[in-house]
Amino acid sequence: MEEIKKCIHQASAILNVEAGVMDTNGLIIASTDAKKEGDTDSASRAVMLSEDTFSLTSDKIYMKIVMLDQVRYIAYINSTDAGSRTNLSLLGEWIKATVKEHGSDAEKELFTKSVLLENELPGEIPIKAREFKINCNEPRLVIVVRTDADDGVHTLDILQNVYGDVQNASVMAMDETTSIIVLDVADEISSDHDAFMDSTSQAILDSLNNEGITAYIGVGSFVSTFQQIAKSYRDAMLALRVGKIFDKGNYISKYYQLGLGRLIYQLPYNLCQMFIEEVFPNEAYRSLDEDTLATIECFFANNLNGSETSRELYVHRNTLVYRLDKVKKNTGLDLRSFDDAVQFKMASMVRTYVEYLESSRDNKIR
Amino acid sequence: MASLSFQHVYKKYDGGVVAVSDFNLEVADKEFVILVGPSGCGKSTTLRMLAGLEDISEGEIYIEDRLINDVLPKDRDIAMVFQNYALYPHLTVRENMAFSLKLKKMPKAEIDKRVAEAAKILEIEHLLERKPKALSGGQRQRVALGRAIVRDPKVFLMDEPLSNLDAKLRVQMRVEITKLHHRLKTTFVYVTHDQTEAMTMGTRIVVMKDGFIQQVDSPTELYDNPINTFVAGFIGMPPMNFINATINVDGSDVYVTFENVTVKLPDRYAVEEVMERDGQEVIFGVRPEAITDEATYVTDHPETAFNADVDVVEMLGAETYLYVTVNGSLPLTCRVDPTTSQSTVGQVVDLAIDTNRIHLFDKDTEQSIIS
Repeated sequence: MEEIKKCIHQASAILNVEAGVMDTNGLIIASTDAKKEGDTDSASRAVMLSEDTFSLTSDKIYMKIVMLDQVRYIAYINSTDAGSRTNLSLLGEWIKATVKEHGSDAEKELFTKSVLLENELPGEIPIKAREFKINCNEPRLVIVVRTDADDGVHTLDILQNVYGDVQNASVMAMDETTSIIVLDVADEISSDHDAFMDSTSQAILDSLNNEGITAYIGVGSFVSTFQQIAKSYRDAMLALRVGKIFDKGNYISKYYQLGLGRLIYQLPYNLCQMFIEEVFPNEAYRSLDEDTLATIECFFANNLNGSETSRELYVHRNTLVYRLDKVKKNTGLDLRSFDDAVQFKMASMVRTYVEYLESSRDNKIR
Repeated sequence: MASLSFQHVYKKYDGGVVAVSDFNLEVADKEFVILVGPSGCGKSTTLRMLAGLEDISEGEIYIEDRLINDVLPKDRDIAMVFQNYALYPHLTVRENMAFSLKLKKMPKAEIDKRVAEAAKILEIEHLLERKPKALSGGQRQRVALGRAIVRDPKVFLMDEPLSNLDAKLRVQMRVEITKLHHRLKTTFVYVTHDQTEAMTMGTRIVVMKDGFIQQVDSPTELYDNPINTFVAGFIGMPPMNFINATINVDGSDVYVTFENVTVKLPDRYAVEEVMERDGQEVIFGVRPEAITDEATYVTDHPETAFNADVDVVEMLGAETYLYVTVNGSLPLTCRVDPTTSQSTVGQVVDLAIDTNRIHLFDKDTEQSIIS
């Protein structure tokens, strides 16, 4: 209906008489006089019974809009002079073309969703894609945007405007919280992929933030054909999920940056528990307080450099040594040794993952 | 128009990462406050917490007297401007500016009125029917500002809005934003990593590092009285020279010694905090402009004079930077007057320090010794 309303709205700037469109029951769905929308025109019955395309009353001309051999709508113009019939014909054809185009867009979107969700047979994708004028041989990138359900409609609106003039970029809603962008990246194939992903995802986030919408963005991997967009979509969804667990401070998660998190995410729960038990027997990890954990995080961030860590934490080097000794005493791992540091890092990430799996309530939007 | 209050605000992530620690700040109505610091210092996180785009782990944030911790971003009466202009490419400037108001289902007449007013303020009335791709970088930035202005917010939040502009345009937009603040008379909170932007635009500057506020002060106070070496080094370009020196007390006179150079400090340093450090190492901070090669000054101040080898001379027109080495090992930067400086590369030059503009910092804590 929105596309018909848009047509009539645009027509109001051209026509100097009232015109509109009603359904076959006479319910006015769009009018140049917005107050008339929702009213019922009793003449519609007579128009439908007439065998002619055009019907005339004392003050209006009506035209049946026929699509696929069926009357779908009735267009009308509130005038009976000679020029009005021509205007109505033009309006009718305009609405027909718009509805057809919109229907084709909707079908194209449905097809793309179907490919994303792997509901299409691989052999049929190029054939159907040709029908929708989709070039299968150009590389694609899928980006998933997740927001609160309340913001879903606005999100789609904003994203459609962000990519409003980009040809071959498809923006669609998967559900009320998830929007998908399938980008044709043929022009970016020779450029720095990472930089392109960074700038594109940041621009999307900024556009949504600008409208007061908090969003999490998952960026998939570059794929070389349209048939492979399901893989890019899977990667983007995985990025979103893994990012949620291991990179909570970031609103953008990129598949290529998932690192160890991607590996740990694939591990079975039992194996994770066994590993934690081995590295942190008797729940040794729980004995580490917040300060110590922050110290460890900073120590790792500074590549096990003690001087830099103590400087950054504003603590004396001896304090840092004391804290690291305490970690060694509680866990048996000396973080100044590379092997122990790796083991600690892995185990703490596995622990984070197990905690995520065990958390019963997870209402966050990502 | 609104005041802001941050009370013991923290942003913590699981796994011990603390992005913002015990952030306390009162921002008066109509103030232009700048959050500045290096990448990862927590300035953007703080701004995002204020905008509602980031949860607050602990503490409280108030806009006027309203606690906004749990208020949705769109209900906070704020507007944000980002580094990315976030303009919609196929909409005209007018439509771009009207977009958020349309989302709010504001009446068309009111939208038109607000867009016209904002366009007038920003002097972009002639651009209203253009699309973003037909605009220059500066014009796009103005439109982005216009999108914020039409919302008529209580607080403007800006996150590195000038980072995408070239150096010349950045200077121009700096002035524009400052003027805009005067015209709108609204509270501005502005995030940047650029100390020049901070110094030139803000009425007050919050210097942050590793999630902690280091110092909150006016630009002049920050420059003249930095509380630690981080602030001293971060504010000012070229940065302050930091010299490992030893305090020597002789009667009521205080000296600092470094690299066989002894400099007598003014009488205001003859105080307990300094005197008790006799024989101890301190960090001696000297701004480049506090070292001069002007012959008369050097002759008149033998108690602060020393010589150095000139390694590089950078002539910038209004000023000249000398990069010198003292005693073959201590590099110093000096900002000298090009109309009087005769220094050339390879020359041994006589220099003197204006000791009224020096700083002493504790070697361990790096905090200023005299507040």
